[in-house]
Amino acid sequence: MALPPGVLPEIQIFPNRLLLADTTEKLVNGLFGIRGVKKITLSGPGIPKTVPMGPAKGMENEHTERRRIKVNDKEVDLEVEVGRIFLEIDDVENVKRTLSNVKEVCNDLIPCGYVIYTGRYTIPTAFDYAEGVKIREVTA
Amino acid sequence: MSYKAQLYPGTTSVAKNRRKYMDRGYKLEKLREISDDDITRLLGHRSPGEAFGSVHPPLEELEEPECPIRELVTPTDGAKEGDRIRYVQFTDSVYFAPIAPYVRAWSYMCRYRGVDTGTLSGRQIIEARMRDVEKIAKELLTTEVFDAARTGLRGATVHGHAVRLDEDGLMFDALQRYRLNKEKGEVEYIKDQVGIPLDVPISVGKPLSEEELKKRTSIYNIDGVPFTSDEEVVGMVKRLHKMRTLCGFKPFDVRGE
Repeated sequence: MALPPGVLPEIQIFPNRLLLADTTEKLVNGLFGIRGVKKITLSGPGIPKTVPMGPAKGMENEHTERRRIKVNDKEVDLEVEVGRIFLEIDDVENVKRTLSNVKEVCNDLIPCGYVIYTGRYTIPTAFDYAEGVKIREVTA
Repeated sequence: MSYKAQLYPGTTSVAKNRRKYMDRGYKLEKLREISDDDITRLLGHRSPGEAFGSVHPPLEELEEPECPIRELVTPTDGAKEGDRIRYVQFTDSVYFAPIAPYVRAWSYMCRYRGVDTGTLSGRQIIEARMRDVEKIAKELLTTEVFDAARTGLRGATVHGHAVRLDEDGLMFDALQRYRLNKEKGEVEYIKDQVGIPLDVPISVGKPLSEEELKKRTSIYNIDGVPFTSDEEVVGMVKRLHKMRTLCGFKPFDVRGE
């Protein structure tokens, strides 16, 4: 896998169905423990906190899938119904080994089946920049 | 009429279902029972038992001018009473919902009078006088054009028709207007069409199986019946595009086409 310098590889898990909060919680806790996984990003269609438009605009949006999940004893707000999971791996050399561990966890915890891809899918965020990742090399 | 309307070309099951839904002579198969009061609650325009809002007095109280069109056209029940215009809006999942937005529009135009319908990629709205909307909504919610899991009654925040289904097989809804009651296996609406919570959940029955949905669907889908497999439909669409292009660009070349 040829990646620009400083950019780490990712494993993308694409479940066949959108995952509900309970499944997401179990899956993320299972993936968290895998050696080589540096960061986990969850993405999917957003669930708003309040109703965004219409006669009910501003009302609290009661939604069973928008809740706090516990990941490794820390509480995290889940604000989406999970459609894709991106695992940032700490080194290109570790991708193959990590992939087999990830598949084991997914086989147990994703009931609806999934597809796995490797590559780089997300762009560095402000958080990554604060950690020292160079977004762009500037040459004079 | 001196001829029988063909309605829609094609030989595949999807084309046959489209003709079925558009044919006003075909009675839509009833799949579930929902009471009139529950329909009123789901629409959210008034409470059950409340009077219909009106924009003008009933027609019999108005002194209308003499007009041959007014004499020819029978007013709908809502128009007779002077009701306000209200709406019902549906979202149909691309995963084999029974009916698609444009097919809804064709179907509404064939079956109902006194309606205004609007079609967008992700939603389809029908506006009519309030009591007519309630009657139309009753038919649309209790018959085969509505599936509990793949069709959504959504007045606002409609996103979800082209998104994967969730683990329960339901179409994604940002406002979670409905949920699956796992004990009964039925889908229950817990909010009305605009997302205001209901006092009591309203059941819309069990979702149909994947096999049954694939038989009933009027959506062309690469996983089901691909659009390109229906030669007659592809030929018709190509002809329509050719004719509209020629008519706008080189009208005299239309001769003989």
